[in-house]
Amino acid sequence: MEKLIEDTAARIFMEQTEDANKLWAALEESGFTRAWVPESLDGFGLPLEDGFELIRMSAKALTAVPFAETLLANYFLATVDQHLPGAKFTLCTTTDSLDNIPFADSADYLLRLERGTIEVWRFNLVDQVNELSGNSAGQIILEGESPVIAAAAPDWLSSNVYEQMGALVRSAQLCGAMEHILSITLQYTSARQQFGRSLAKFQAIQLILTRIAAQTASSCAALQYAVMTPQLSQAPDWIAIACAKAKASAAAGLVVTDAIQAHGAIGYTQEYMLSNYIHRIWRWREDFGGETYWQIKIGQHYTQPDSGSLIEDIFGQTNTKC
Amino acid sequence: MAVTSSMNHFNFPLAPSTEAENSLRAEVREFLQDEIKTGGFTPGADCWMSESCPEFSAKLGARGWLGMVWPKKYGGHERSPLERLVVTEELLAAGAPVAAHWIADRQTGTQILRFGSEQQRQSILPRMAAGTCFAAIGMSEPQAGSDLAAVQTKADKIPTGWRLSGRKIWSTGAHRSDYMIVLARTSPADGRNRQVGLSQFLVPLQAQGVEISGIKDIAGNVHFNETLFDGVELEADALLGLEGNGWAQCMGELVLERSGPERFLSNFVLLDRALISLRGQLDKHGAAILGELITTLNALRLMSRSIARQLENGLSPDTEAALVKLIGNSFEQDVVTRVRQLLSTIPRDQWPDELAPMLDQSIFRLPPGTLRGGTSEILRGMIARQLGMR
Repeated sequence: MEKLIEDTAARIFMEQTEDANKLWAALEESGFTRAWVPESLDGFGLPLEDGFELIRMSAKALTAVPFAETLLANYFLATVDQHLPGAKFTLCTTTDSLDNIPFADSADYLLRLERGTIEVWRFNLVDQVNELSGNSAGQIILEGESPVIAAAAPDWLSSNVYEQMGALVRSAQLCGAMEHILSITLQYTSARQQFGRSLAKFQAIQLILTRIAAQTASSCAALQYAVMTPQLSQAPDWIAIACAKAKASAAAGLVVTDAIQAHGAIGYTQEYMLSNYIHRIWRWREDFGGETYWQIKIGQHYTQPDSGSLIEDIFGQTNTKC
Repeated sequence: MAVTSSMNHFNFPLAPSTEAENSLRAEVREFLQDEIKTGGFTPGADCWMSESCPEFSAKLGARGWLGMVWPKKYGGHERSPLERLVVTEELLAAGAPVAAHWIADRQTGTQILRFGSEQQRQSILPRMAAGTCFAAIGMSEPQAGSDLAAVQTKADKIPTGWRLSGRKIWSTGAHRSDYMIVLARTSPADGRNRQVGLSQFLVPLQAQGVEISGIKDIAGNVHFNETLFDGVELEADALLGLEGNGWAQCMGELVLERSGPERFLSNFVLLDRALISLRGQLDKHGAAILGELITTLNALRLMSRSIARQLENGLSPDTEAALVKLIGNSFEQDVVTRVRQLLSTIPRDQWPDELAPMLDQSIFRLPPGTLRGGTSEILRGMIARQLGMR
């Protein structure tokens, strides 16, 4: 990613996080919500991997606006030449259920893919869901008889691709959250004194931190490859995405457990900032398929009677698609 | 608490594989498949330690797949580290008998290239690249395992060169090797700083006073040894690099030793065989178990490739390399555990042919994975230091 873009993004995410309206205005103004929309459609036209880096940064900054959802929704909308300026979007994160939609109280529209049609709906919040997201999720009903926009999706944009791109977005968020948890936990264990020295000096604590590091690093590696595989306006390499989401979802749970353990009881309080990351992780790891969902798909792919060979895939054309 | 850093802790830049790499991979794979078909070798777990075959090593040498990154004038082929990685990945994935030359090709040759005399480079490297000259590692001692600076082997200056006395242990393949790089004390430690006063020596194992005795592993096989140096007289140029610089040189050698794909591919053959053998027989739970292994393998492979690329660009991704060995060794053990779980519901006499012996082989051969080349505990210490905890 270009330095200028990275610096701008860092500034926006770090400085504006307190005020959701200001943050959203800054994200709109910078063009980041339209990062994946081609310039010909008044978008930023960034490569996909850059958009995923923005998403990773937004997760570290605990962005409390539907930035990632809107980025992806705008990408899908652009495939049918549509644009709703300034709109905040949410997505269906579990098949087609409307029972637990993220940002149900603040997004303007829901974008879903229904039998090959991209639909954009206004909706009403029925019930806040007291759940794990940290951001307000809720049960919604669609407003009106018909969607605001209904357009036939291009052939490559199947419901599988909707799910895969969503999974990759969540993987990037999970990686950002894990990286930040590693930072927080390193800082906390270095500052906190017990038995006359900092916790970080104890081998038992170092073991915990190296476990967090191992889970985070392997998730980031899988992510960094997976974000290079989709080409704009093409179905992505689903195995790479499945590997990234399965790895990140499984890793994030372990990282949370270890981070709380390294902190002690403070890590389990709402007041301490760790809780915000934990809430999000507990939601994101399930969205668009948890680890077991993707592990089964991967395992089945390689054990079907006519399945391809692992060596071809893992050591074959790897890294040729970027 | 304010956390200002938005930096990524870990970076794994990836690059597309080049045409040259892809065609090399296809060439190596075809060669290996032919070898298996014609009985050249039977795939084995832990092949880089446990499957030794000098004839096979010579075949690889003839094809230019050893000493790949060394200069041509020393018998090398001036290929890129990523091209070498392609070859090592394929050899390991096939379970090929590469143990004879593995250490020479991976680290000893490079150390000679870095620190050896011109005469040593010219006389030894071409033979190593040809797969006809092998090497062992001389670091651990009976009283110096993880605490390597505690080595007691010593080298004294004599008019003709050096006299070496001491004992090295766990020297894999020493009984079939020509050389060993020995870490020895050449002057006393400086107070508590024991890393000074150590030097590396290139020792011909045929020299008088060298006594190699095999140590049987838990399966009864001899691949590692105790090597006794009973006042072995060495020529002056046996000193590798600088006197007193042995610790730093040894650390550089360990980076070569630790960072390769053998730290997670030792029993790829078992996973691959299981996938083929269990085709069509797995329920969702079984599929999830295999899927999880594959996601970890995928991550390790990407990390390893990225590290090779960073090394090529002159960077030293030490934390990342230590993480690959740590995660990789634990992954190798998971493969065994998971395949056992998958097979647990099938009566043993109905296990797919070839899978049972491969599993047994892995069970017997994998335990030292988390020990050799630095224990997981030593690696965690390194990672913690790099995270700023020490």
